[in-house]
Amino acid sequence: MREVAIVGIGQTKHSGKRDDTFQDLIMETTRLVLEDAQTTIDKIDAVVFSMAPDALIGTVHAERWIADTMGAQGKPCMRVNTGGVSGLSAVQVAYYHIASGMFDTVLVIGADRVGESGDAQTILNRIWDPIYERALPLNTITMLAMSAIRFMEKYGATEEHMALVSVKSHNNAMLNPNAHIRKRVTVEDVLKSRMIAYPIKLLDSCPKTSGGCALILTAKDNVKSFPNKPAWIRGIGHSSETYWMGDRLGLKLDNEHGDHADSIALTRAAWQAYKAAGIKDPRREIDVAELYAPFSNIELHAVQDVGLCDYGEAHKLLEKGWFDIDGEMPVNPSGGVLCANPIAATAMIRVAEAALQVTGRAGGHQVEKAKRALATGIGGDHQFFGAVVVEAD
Amino acid sequence: MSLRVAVVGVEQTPYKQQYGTVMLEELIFTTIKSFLDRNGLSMKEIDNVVIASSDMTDGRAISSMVTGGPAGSVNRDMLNLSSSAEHAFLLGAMQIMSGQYGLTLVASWSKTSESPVSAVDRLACEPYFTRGVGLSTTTGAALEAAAYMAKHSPDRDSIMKIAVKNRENALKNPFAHLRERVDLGQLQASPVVSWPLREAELPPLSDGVCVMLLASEKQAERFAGPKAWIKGMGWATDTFWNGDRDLTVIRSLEIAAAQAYKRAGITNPLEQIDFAELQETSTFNEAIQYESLGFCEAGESVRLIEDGLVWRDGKLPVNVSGGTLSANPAFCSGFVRIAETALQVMEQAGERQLAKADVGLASSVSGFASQSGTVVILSK
Repeated sequence: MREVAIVGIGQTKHSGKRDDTFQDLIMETTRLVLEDAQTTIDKIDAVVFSMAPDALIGTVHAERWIADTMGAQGKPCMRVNTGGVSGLSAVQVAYYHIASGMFDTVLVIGADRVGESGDAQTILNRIWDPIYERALPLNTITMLAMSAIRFMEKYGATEEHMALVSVKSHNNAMLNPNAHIRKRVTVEDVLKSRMIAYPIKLLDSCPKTSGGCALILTAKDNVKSFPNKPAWIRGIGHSSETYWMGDRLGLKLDNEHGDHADSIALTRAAWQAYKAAGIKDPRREIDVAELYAPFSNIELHAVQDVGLCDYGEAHKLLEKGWFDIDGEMPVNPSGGVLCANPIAATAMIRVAEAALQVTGRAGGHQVEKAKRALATGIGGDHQFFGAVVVEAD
Repeated sequence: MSLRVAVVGVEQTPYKQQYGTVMLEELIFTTIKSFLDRNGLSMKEIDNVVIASSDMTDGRAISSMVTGGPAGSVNRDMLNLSSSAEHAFLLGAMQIMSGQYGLTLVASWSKTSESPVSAVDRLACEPYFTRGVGLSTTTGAALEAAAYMAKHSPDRDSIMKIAVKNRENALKNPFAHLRERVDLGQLQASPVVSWPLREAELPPLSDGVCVMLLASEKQAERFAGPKAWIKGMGWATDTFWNGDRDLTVIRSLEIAAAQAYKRAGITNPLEQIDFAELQETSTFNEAIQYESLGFCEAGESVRLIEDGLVWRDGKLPVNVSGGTLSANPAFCSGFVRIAETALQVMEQAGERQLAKADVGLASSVSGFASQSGTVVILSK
């Protein structure tokens, strides 16, 4: 298979509201990635857009609207929509553009203005069955609150553990100038924050973020024409679970339905990527992970599912600082999704941050001696999972 | 460098005005199940799935969540593309070319009977300039037609004969939605919907599901009969702003065709291609596509129609399936063109099978006034 590297990374400063239009945001993100790679749009062979529900932007098929905003009119363009994992799925689609031999250099971009999307949770209620589920009312918070309850019941974790995840993320975000939420919080602050859907509280939750992210991927032969140290994409994986959460009862953990406390599909996606990267023991061979976790409880099951610790150990190791930026296995040194969630870009930011880490470009939140990193994404109703392993020379 | 990829199977529902009480999920499931059963396959043998669904035509946010399951997503890699249905085909092909997968199911659909297509069109206009104007797929096609009339003054009857041709071809296609002959008199009497386009020059809206199975060279050996090998693919998205484009040509399609022809080694399409399936958004649009695909020079489409070249028994039959004018599961119509091309090359096109169908071209266009275009070349 043709080797592919990330040679350009652009990320806006993430924030709540922005005074400019979606066009402006796309233009800024495009400019940032082209400047980072010291290249021009003319050198880009194809473009992949990440865009989750059209309603978040308020324009259907907005990918058509922004082609010329990027200066990409006339280029091959396609748009990925796998919900929250779209940004990472789009990186994989760009990877296939190059690995297939069809194109040499591909730009992948995602941006959202969730801060101005009306009520994002009202839009996200529309992902459910119109007859049975919308009226409950399900949204992405209540959905994952059920997962949190099941996780606590199954493994003995507590609300304090969730709070510890949030404290760690907020501490890390203080080191990341692009993070949306940059505020130190204590366990007590989290526990006292407003209850959204038990056991998820305000400070266990991601914000409504506006921002963008873009990457430039290129084939091995071209890597030298870009100034940045390449972050090689060594393995990719993607897998799905059933849409019906009520079927994720964990009756047979090895079966395709899984358990709503964990995610069997995240495990499959991660191991597909590990296998391609030649990784046998991720605990030893992964130096840092950027795991998609829009609520604090999700990080607890994600570290287990991707094999960075044993099942039932995540909250115990968390207490010991295992996942801190200077711990044994740093997780979300950027501050993670808890501190910035511009939906279409969020999962792409995981890959971008992983690539920044392995190439030593993460600045204040750089993890020492990071050479190989894992990035993951989650979409749908905790249903679509993707993983990417990146590595520096 | 790239690995070879073939279409080894096609399944489609008959396209019709509505599937009534059959839910979209059921329609997808039964189509894929029928395909697997007919080919003696189990879902376990399929490596991955690529679908194309549009949230707004499916009527729900992230519609791939509910449609993915019946398409076989559970327990495997499934990616969803929302830009255009044929993009799912392109991605599935690239995944196999990369060596990542060997047997990839690609699927798309539209249940237009349940979606307010004109409202979806209106929301696909950006909010500042075009939304208030009433731009839609139909008015976009009318702008192309008006521009073409102004520049080339074609014989109006000749253009209408494209609908006569396609609707006549549909008589041989059991999957077509409209299976009634229309003659020139009926076309001339058909009401103008959006000037200069008459109702019978525009596609209907249909429900339906279309599925293809793509295979690597190794996996393709398992399947009997001729395969449809991918010889070339190209796609492009032009500017969103119609006012910045010359609507008498489809630049996105020109770029896509140039890429696909280069990869397939085609220098003279009229001589090297046996037949074509074009996603025509109107009679005029099909005429413009002849020119943008290099079948003839600008303004000469009428000659291809009058000389019989593009008719079923002509040198380069176009839309022997009946085309989009005879069946239009809106979001997935371009995808169906690839499927119909594959069926011909695989010699599985039944009554509509052409005697010589070694090399076929499929085109698709999407967005207002053909903003995006895709060209796929398949061959034995």
